[in-house]
Amino acid sequence: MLYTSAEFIIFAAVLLAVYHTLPRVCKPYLLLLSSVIFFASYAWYNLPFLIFTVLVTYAGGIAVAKVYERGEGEISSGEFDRETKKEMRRRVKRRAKLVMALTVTADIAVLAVLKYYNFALHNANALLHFTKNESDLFITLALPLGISFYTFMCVGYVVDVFRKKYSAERNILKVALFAAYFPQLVQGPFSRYDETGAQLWSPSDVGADALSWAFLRIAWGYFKKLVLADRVAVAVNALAGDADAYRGAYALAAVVLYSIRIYADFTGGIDITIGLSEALGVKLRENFIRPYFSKSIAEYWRRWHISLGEWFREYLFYPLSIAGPVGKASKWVKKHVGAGAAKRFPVYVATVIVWFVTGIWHGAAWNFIAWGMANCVVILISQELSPLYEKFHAKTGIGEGGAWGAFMIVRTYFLMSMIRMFDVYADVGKTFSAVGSIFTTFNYGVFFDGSMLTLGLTGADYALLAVGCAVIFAVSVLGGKKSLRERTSGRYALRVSLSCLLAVATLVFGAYGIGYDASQFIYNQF
Amino acid sequence: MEKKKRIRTAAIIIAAILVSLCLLDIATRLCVPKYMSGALDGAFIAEYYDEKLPHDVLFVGDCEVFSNISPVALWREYGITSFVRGSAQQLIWQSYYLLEEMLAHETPKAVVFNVLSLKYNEPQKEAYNRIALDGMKLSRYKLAAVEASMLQGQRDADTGEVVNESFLSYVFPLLRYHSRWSSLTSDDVKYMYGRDKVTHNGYYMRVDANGVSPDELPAVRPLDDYTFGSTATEYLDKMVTLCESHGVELILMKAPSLVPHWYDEYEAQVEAYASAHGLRYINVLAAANDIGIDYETDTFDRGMHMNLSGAEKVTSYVGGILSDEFGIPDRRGDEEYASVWAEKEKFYDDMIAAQQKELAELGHLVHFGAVG
Amino acid sequence: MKRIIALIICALAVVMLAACSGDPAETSDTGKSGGTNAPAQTNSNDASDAVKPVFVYNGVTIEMNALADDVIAALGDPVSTYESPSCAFQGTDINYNYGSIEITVYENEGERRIYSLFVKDDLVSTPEGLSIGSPESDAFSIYGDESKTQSGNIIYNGKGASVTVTFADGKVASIEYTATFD
Repeated sequence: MLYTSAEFIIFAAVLLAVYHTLPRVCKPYLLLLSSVIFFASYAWYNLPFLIFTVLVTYAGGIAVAKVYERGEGEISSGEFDRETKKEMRRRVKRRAKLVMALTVTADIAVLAVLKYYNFALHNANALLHFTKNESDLFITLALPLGISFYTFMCVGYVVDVFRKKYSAERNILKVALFAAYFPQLVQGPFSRYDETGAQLWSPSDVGADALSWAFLRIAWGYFKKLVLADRVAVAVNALAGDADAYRGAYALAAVVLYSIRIYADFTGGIDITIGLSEALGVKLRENFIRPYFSKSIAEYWRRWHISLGEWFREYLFYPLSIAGPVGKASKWVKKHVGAGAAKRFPVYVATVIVWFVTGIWHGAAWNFIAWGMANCVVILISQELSPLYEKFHAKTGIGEGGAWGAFMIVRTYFLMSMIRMFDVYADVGKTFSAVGSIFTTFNYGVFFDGSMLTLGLTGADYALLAVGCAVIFAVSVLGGKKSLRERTSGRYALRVSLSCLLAVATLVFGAYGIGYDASQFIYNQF
Repeated sequence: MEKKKRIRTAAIIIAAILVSLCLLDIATRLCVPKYMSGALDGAFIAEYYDEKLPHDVLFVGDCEVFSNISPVALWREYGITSFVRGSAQQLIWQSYYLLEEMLAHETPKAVVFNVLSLKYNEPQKEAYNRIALDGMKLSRYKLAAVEASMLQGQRDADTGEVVNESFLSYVFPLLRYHSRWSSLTSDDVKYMYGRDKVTHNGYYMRVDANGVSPDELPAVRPLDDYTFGSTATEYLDKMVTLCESHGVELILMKAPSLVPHWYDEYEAQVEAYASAHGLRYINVLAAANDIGIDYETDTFDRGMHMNLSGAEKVTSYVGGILSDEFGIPDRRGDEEYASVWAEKEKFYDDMIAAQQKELAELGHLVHFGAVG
Repeated sequence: MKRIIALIICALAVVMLAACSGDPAETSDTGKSGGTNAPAQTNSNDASDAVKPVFVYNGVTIEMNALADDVIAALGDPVSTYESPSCAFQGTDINYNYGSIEITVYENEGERRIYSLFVKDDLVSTPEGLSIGSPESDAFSIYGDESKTQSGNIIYNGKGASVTVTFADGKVASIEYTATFD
């Protein structure tokens, strides 16, 4: 069930109707059931993987809690001196850590095997040449829906229990619903158990304010996805499909069009997710804060796919930078290279690893790894240069507002959009060549001689894109100082009217269905 | 005050929803293809709903009915009232559901089904489905026809593309045609709330001739298997049952045409079916010579479809059988009928004149659906 | 008691939901499986290992679905042509008659491609040596017994084209190449 399918819209409508007529105690069960249906609608035979992860995570959480309980019991049962108690606590923590690590390993193992096995096999074989028919050894399974999301959320849960952020959940169904909650399966956002766990089990009442806002948000999401993202996809695919032919200005067009596509697609999808969830009485966190207004790549990553960045910070970057081996290594660096390098060492190691994993999380392919590393390099360089920038600002008195700020925004946008081309061309060499051609191939006449009309989009399509982008821009600016939710608070009629307007616009201008091919009708005889 | 505000909010919300529905209706009317210039086929099916009086004979089938049977000629010669419900490559299940729909509204004396479409056992092409089904009013017959016709992973007969049609898009045609927003023409505005009549009780008129001599025809290519498919035969069975239950005589017919070739093996199956079910089978193809059909002058597209001259010959022959063997009444004496049909005759004669004028002026037709 | 009622309502809702959502799921499923069954191949030989059927006439190699104009030009003037806007095709089909063979050309998205080739007499033979009048066994040794249809003829599904061979009195009665879409 894709968000844009009629099946999903009917499914969601029926769910909402039934959901709001049910007594509160039943609601979580209905959510769980519909999540299972949703998951199974993609590939029912993948259900065992989801169930396995839920079971492991649930048991792991309980086990970690048991270790702590027993430890506390032992400590409080006898008369120990402070040192012994400390030592005992350390031992308990080590044991808990072991359980946590085992659980995390089991969770990650499923993901690793299903998502990365073929990739690893292919690369290992390229290196070692151990088989001629590597495809015989490939696992050809459809990936379980949302596995990258629910696995990470489950890992986060177990780690949090280990860190005693909250206690382990005793009800397995609660863990199951946390992991499988269907709006989040498609593209996140990631949640922590303390954010959604309780909400999911006793969802808040949905009043007119929440409901009208939810509908507006859903309509807005569909508008962005169907009218803009899916329309521009035609041209992006054409450009990416023949990277050797489409160079220079075309590559620049691909950069810009893809930035529209991914923004409209991803934020649109998240709008639908958050809106739908809100209509179900479950508040999810925001995943985007007007990311294209960022002034640096680092800032961009605090405003784009926020929940992913936070997950990595919390569960990978932070533990890595304080990890024992890293500390030892930086001592070595201090001795042999210098204090400055040693200070940076842990951060650098953690940053590189985080971006490597972020890259491969997006897809098991080298182009995604290259994409991650490109982000990493830019972030580290700008980190190194930041003292210089500060000096520059101090000396010239140019602040980050005004023209300079605008320049920074535009620069960040283009830099980020170019890095993103690793994703579009799906090939590292092609990406370098195509993006490089923007600066070396001066065929910018193609913007004016009608060449852009050969990419599958008509003049009307481009006009529509321009209008759509202008609307998004206006909405972003309007929501900058004060959120649109606040601005329209209490104005239900306005919200509903806007929702209707967006729905009509989406139905008419959306790029969906069997495209009307005029020639098919005009030339057809009896 | 609070209450007043709430009422106002509710009123605005209701108004917004109503306005949206109106907008969607307008968008739908604007975006659906009108078939008023270029190919006209898509406009045929809906014309049935404008009929004021019932008919004694209903013809169903594909192009071999709508270009071969002229109800006005049938009226003039025999006083038989009739309607032709056919569209381009109309598949047998589409004919069946169209017939079922008509029989829910009227009970004719006879139904004539042209057998060519028996050779298709599967949906062929989305465009043809649309031409046959979009003109139907929403009803359970339409939904059943859609269900039976949709391409669900089959390949388009021309392009080989795998097509997945959506059921909903037949109920809400905007879902199918919305992408026409950028290629709307003045026709789309002009015919939003009503279209011109293009057929004569379902008969598609062409006065021009573009004939063929038998030796110019492509060679007849033997097939591996001539057996009519099970779905096609099943719908023929259903048609028999349907007509029986309404007390209507079902007659089978094969129109004269040289292309596509009508194989002897097809003929044998139809004859066997007719005799097994006690149905009259009128093979006009076999009688073509006797009734004076000359493929050099009587077709407008080299042997496929009859032009006016050919169609009137076919009609005269079929009408004779309907009148003599089935006693279909002559209603020319009935004033109500006479006045309605006088109008139809005028439209018919005017169109003949108009087509002949254009033909004389340009040497060929450009309007009246003469594309290419 | 309240709890039990709640559970019953829950169960009912579940059933309702399952009923409602079951239908769309089913349609999408049939859509998918229909897709895999769709190729217009009537027998079981696997097109992936199959060869591409070609025909050579007067030194011109003719492949189905190939762009037609060069082939038609190379074949020289046809004996006759038959052009018709046909029931099964949009645009115009043109049948070119070269005496011993006929070639049908179709138009799709502005391109003219070869749709079929029909062998008319025993003056020509396929590259494999099959011609009208050849014994049935020759045809089966070329196209394999697995190409035999229920009617006893041959439909060989090659790459991009199928070859239909029909028989009469134990001899080849017709040979036809038809474009297929893989």
